[in-house]
Amino acid sequence: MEKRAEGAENSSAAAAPAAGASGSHWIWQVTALSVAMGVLLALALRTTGTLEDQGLSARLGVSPASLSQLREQSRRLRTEIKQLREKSQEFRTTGSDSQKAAKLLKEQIADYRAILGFAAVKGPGVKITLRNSPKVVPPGWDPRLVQTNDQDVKGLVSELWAAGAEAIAVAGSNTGKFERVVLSSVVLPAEGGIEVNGRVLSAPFEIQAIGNSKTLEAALEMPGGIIDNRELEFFQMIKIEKAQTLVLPEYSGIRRARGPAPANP
Amino acid sequence: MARPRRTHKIWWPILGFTVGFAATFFVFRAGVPLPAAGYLSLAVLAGLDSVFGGIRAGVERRFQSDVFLSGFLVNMLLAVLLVYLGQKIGVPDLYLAAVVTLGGRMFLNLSVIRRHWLEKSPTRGEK
Repeated sequence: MEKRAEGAENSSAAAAPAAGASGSHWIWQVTALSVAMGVLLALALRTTGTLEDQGLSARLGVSPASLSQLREQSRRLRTEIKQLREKSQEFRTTGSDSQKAAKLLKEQIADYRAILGFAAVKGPGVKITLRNSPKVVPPGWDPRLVQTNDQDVKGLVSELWAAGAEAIAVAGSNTGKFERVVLSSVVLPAEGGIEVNGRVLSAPFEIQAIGNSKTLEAALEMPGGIIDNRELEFFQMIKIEKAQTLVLPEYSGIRRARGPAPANP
Repeated sequence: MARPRRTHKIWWPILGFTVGFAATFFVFRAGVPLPAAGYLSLAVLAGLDSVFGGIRAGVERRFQSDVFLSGFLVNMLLAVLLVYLGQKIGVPDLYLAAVVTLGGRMFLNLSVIRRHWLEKSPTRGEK
């Protein structure tokens, strides 16, 4: 292949004005191109060097551009966290104005009580009604398939927390009162229904959760969740309603006298 | 005939390359946007192939500017095109065709240049 190219070039060599007969003009053109190549190679090495510094792009299967973006974002967020921590530390240690500090503390306490369930709360959310299926069970079927139980309630409560619910409460048809679900609350099976916070509730149950109603409903409807797995919608055992204002009562149980000791004073 | 002047001229492209490289790498410390990095590497390969091809044509006294410049541009374009096409049609290693060809030609040209350089050297004992 090289020889044929040579022949073609030689035949037109006589016509080319810059033919290297004297042999010196070519060196400058080649040099000029060499300079350009040096520049390009340096650019390539500089860019690849940046990639290697990051080190992970190929292994993680993420494009280097998005990897560096994510690293930058992570760095910025870490700085923000550090700043916020410093600020809150400042809050706690400085007692500039005792009245202002007291007010802030009261607000914080009220916040925590609401979150933990020791205060009544209100807000938008969802109302879920859970009942045994009205459909008639064909003979030979396990009747438990169409009966609601503690697992249903547990699954729904779990998914609501995961979807960002801020407060959850459960009620049974036997009592009108709602039981607030707190950190230590469990849903146990019981004779005639379920047991929450030490109280027995019987079906149909109502679960109320405060949070973003659209998000909560969407999360419950997701495939793979309890509604999907237990076919609660098919058996008409569940009804979800969005609500503008829900009021959930405070935890009805006995509060522990003191909690665990904090690790950092 | 003492030492032919042509051998000294070989150093110019090498010097040019070193200067261009050092200036960009150490002084300007420039990089390019990350997506361009892959194309850049292959463009360098194509350019270097043209440089060595040009040097070879020069020492063989058959250098032509138009062939040189057009060869450089076309090779670079083709190399970049192969990278881009390869990614688009799902043959990501398509650029390897360019790598193998250009790399092979570089070695070939280098060996021709080397032979010319050695033959012109006075230690060969000819002329």
